[in-house]
Amino acid sequence: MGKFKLNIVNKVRVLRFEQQQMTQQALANKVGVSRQTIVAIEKNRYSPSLDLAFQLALAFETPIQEVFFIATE
Amino acid sequence: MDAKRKNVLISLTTALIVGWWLYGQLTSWPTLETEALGRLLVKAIGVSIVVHIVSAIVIVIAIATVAGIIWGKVDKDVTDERDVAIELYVMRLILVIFSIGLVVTFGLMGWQQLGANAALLYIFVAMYLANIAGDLLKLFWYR
Repeated sequence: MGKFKLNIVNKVRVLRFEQQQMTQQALANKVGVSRQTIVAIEKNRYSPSLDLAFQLALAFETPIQEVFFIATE
Repeated sequence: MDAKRKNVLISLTTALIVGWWLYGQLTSWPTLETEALGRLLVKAIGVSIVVHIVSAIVIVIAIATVAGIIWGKVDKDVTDERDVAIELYVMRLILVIFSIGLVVTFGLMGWQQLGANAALLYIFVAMYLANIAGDLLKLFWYR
């Protein structure tokens, strides 16, 4: 199987606004990370661990594939 | 500004002040005895501890005041998985730069008959540069 880099993107920012405009700090507190980590994830500069990805999905009460997915292009 | 960026700023300030101080002390280093140079480097470590404490106090107070005026709050200090990953990248960079410095120094000692005092200084400079490069990489990650 060939090795290639997946372009994983997320909808954290959108989901935050859908959840009564939750602040980055509120989300960070909810999942136990720093606000800077949430900023980095939203800007796709950091791919979180599976554990944190699931915690984010739980925080938004949505399936993980609704939060993180592979970009088609 | 969060505690991580604050720590990088303190570390960089300390490195620059101690580097500037050491550069001023080393104008006559080729004529220095190895023992005198060793004493100077130990003194540099002592100076860096003092400068670190002073710059930590000054920067923490200055940033707390400025952050309080501008944002009205200071970010909480939380260490998470991203910090661990960044720390690992930084440690790797520091190790690479220091190893290169060490190998170059030993190479020069073997081939160019580099003196013991110069070798000591080269190793110290490699450590110093590795530390600054690590801090800059941290700043890049925390941008």
